[in-house]
Amino acid sequence: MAQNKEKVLTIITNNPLVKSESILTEHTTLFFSDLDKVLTKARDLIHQGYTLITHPLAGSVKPWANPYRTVLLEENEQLNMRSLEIMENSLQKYDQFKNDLEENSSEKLNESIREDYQLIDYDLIKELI
Amino acid sequence: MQLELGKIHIKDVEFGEENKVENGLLTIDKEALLHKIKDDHRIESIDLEIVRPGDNVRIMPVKDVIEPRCKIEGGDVFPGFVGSEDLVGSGKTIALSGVSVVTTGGIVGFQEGIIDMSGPGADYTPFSKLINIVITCEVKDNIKSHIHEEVLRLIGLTAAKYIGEAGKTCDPDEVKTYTHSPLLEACELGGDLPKVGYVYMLQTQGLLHDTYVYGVDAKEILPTIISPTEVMDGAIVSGNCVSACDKNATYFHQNNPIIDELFARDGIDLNFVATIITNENVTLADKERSSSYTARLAEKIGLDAAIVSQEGFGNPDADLIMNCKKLEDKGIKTVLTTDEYAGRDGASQSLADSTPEADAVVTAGNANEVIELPPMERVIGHVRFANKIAGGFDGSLAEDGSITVEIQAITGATNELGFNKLTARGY
Repeated sequence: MAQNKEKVLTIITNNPLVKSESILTEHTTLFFSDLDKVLTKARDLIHQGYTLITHPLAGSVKPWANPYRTVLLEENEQLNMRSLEIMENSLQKYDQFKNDLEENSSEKLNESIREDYQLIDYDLIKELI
Repeated sequence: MQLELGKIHIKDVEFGEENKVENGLLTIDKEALLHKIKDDHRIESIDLEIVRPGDNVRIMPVKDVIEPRCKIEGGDVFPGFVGSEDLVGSGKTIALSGVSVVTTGGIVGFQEGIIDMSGPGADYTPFSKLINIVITCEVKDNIKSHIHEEVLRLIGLTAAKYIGEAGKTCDPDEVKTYTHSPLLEACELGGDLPKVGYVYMLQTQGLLHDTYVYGVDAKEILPTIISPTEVMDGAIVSGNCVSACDKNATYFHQNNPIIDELFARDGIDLNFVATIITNENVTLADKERSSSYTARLAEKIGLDAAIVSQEGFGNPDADLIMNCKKLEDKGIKTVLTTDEYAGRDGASQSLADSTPEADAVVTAGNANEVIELPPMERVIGHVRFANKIAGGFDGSLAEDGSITVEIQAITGATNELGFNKLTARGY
């Protein structure tokens, strides 16, 4: 795993577990209740020169089955084209699976499954924060 | 390096007084095996069952599938876990063919992994054709997910090794010798044939997405060279529990069809010189490093072409494309093997990333295709997961026990090593 410990990151998330852990770190945490906002905020920041640290698509859990998503970014000066390309591709995949995701929306999931999804999302980034 | 792989064709399996194979009948001492695997304070309950092709049985959620094997010479199977630390890949190995150990367990609430032994679902999984020794294990309530995964992983490997040892004293029904020569020798032997390598991508994204090499968590490695014969002896072990259709269960690693085909054509129309293992990590920096290092290794070896296989989908699509682009930039021709998430109608873009260099791609099928699985007389494992399996959706589990799911939920349905038989045809 890459060592980003010395860097101050921007954490964009809709995952309460990530929020409760990251709030105690030196990183900036932006919490939204809506997944749409997480992704569009990440895209907007990339346009302002931020670079993606983590890939915005989830791991092998069906692309958008997990209603929780955390994206880590680092502030930079210049637009990073590769970050923008990855972000735009991910948004395209998000649109494709949006309907499935709504069927699986967090309000419909029971508490223990919600916690499992949060844990999977948190585990992907925990070593970086 | 030379490995003699002997296969014993198992025709049936029964529980009995001792562990042995006689005329294709595998007898397992159930009590002795249970005694061996249940000695872990984290386990609440454990049981074993035998299921056969054609049985009216559904197994779910499947965690891993493992082929029982044992070493006669040259170390132990699954080194770093249940065997010694000796390197494997040479000497003699015996495989009990036609049989597998299946571990089940709901590690997280939405876990998938269905094996139907009969009916329409059976056509979609290669494991419906095997006699399966299914381990159902529950852990204590306070056990965290990653510990639960580890418990099941160790139980599966221990059982597969123990059962495999029943074949130790038998004459195998078929024996194949695999020779993997040192690089310089291989280059000389191959003459003008194109030097082909295999880039073997391993899923390594953290909790429930891990793969181990000689017991080492592969997310911590730099890409490295492994002998394909080491893979056959269990040097690569799956700790990957999600995305049933395209996760590489340990069985697929042991019986990797790409490795098999490369060996079959070695010296005929290609020169199979190296296997490079690399990982699929979460951060973009890790992805860049691993793909750059993979391309550098391939260049150093002097490959003319490479086959690159992916594990999982979504975020690993980026690793696949980076590997492709960086290899092609060095003049190394690539063929990619993957699967698709093209929506239920198959009309959407299949991968989350692309590059013009990816002009030779083999698909193992569209994981979003929907299938209806009729009710089964018996479900082994944990049926409460049916409604929340990946690829499932609200109302997946009907009252009569039938399940409507995407084939993503079926173990091995779109295996990206090409183990299964789904294909695409244009009309």
